[in-house]
Amino acid sequence: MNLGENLALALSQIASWEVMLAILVGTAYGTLVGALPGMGTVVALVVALPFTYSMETPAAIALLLSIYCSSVYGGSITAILINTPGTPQSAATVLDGYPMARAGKADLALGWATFASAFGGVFSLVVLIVAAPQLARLSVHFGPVETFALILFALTCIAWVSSGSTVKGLLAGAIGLFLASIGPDNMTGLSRFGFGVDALAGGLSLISVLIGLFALSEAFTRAAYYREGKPPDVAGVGFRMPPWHDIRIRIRMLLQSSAIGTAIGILPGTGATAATFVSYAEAKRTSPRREGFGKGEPDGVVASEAANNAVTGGALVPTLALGIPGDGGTVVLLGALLIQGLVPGVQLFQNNPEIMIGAFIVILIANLLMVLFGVLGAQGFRRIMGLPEPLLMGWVVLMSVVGAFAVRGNPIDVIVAVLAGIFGVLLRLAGVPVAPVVIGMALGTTLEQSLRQGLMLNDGSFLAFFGEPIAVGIFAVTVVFIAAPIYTALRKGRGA
Amino acid sequence: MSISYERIVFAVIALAAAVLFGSTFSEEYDVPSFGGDVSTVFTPRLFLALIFLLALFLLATAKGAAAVEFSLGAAEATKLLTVAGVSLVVAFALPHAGFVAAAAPGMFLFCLLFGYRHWITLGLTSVLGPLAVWYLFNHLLELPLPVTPWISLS
Repeated sequence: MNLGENLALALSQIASWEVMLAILVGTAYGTLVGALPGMGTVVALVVALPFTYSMETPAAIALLLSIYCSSVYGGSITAILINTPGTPQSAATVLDGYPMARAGKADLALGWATFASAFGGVFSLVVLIVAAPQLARLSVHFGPVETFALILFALTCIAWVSSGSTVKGLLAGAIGLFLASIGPDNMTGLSRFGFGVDALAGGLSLISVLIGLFALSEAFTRAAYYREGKPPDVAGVGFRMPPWHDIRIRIRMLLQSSAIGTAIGILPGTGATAATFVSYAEAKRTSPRREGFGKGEPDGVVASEAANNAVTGGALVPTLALGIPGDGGTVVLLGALLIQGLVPGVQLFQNNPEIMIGAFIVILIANLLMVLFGVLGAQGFRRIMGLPEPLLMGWVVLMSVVGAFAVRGNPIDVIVAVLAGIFGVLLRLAGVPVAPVVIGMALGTTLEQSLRQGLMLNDGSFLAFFGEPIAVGIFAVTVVFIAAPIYTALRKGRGA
Repeated sequence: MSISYERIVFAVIALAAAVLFGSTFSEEYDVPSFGGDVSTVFTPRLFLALIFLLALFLLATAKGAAAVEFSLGAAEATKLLTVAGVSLVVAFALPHAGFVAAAAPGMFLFCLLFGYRHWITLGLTSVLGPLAVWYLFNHLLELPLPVTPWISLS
């Protein structure tokens, strides 16, 4: 089948009312949940996940991709209107978005956030379309040794860029790797760490652990710290598209921020929060209007929002091409793809090209719909954001229970999710990031399998791993990633 | 608060890793491997050793309560444990009581403990919410949630 036929097939699948409804609902819901402070992309995806189990593959993917893209944008609404970023990715939007709102330009700030988000999203989509198939094609040359090297690299990235301490990120990743080893050994079938509990013999469900660590631990923590209060008022709520002249003079800023977001998004584990702050710092350094930063300069909103939305396309590159998720959101997407019987990698691009092309079109539509929802929803979002937090979190818990149960129809998964939620709270208390746990868990089985298959292929010799050129290249990059921050720290120490 | 949650958490993680590491030397894992393969517990041992060493390092370098993301007072801790406990009870009750009978009181208690005091809204949401979800999943999406044995809802 050629590209034209695949495109026609993809369009015919998307043209169904189920898929269009999924995109519409997904974008509206994603924007709304993204706007609710603390909920974030993963919670939005987790709550919607059980609905996808009974959906056709194109509609399920359309729903989750729309939520994934739009929830990042949604976070900017509360950042601008009530000085509280809906998602961590929008934390930098507060710096200039809220001062704009306080100055009576909330409508213009929302206009800039919406335009920059759509721009960043579409920019990264172009990169995704170009880079993902190439990377997937390269993955044909990946045997167990190369796969092992690649996953090791991904885990190193995750540890180094984790928020807070690197060692804590490493610890979280290692815990995730261990959790993946609970249950049957794929090579021998022997059950590990079951301790006679039947429920553990089959292993832990990744989705249940993810629901617990993200959604339930968030709900438990927010319950503990809940205080009734009223968000501060701002003037000029509405939506105003920035004038064309203002956009034209900021094209360079839009391109620069989108490129930073996409590049950082491609690196596994980096996530949109890091991209946003790097982009904001770079904009503050290079913008001709840098004096206005922090006082309501649109460049600040552009830098933050273009970058965080560009991460979505970037993060999907390794997820779709190699099956390596970059953050909690892409772990959910990866899990949903597997539930639908789709295995990321070159086979996905070769066997189901229409699904991939369809996914690209869905992302494009979702990014364009975001603008529409921004125009229509600014006033409405503000009212919905006024709903009582306890009821909202009650619904999150309810849907988390449903999501954990419905994956395998096993009540034990709900207990696992709640226990993971409690464990997530403990990790947060100790300042340990939870995202590396689920990423480690998602990659753990493949890491172990590729290591053992590689050893079997090389008669048990680990040294033989260094005879594979691609693997050696990846190992070298991994060493650079480990050495670079140490070298920088040492140089700083000497300079002081 | 003078308690360092960091230290407690890392100590518990290190201890758990040590115990689990020790359990990998039990007879049940004493299975021969073939063709260059390693033991079935080779990689878990690596992961557990890494967890143990990292947790020990963090335990030794933990600075105290001020260094963590957020601190927890007695009132917050009680509230947190109670809502987590309610969720755990719902999880255990799910297969025995069914989805609606487990989730409705669970949602009521969760919102109440969270701090919500508008009784009519709370009552209606707690009953109608789980019922609506149950109907949606069991009848429209055909993904059956556990039924309540002593109430016929079909």
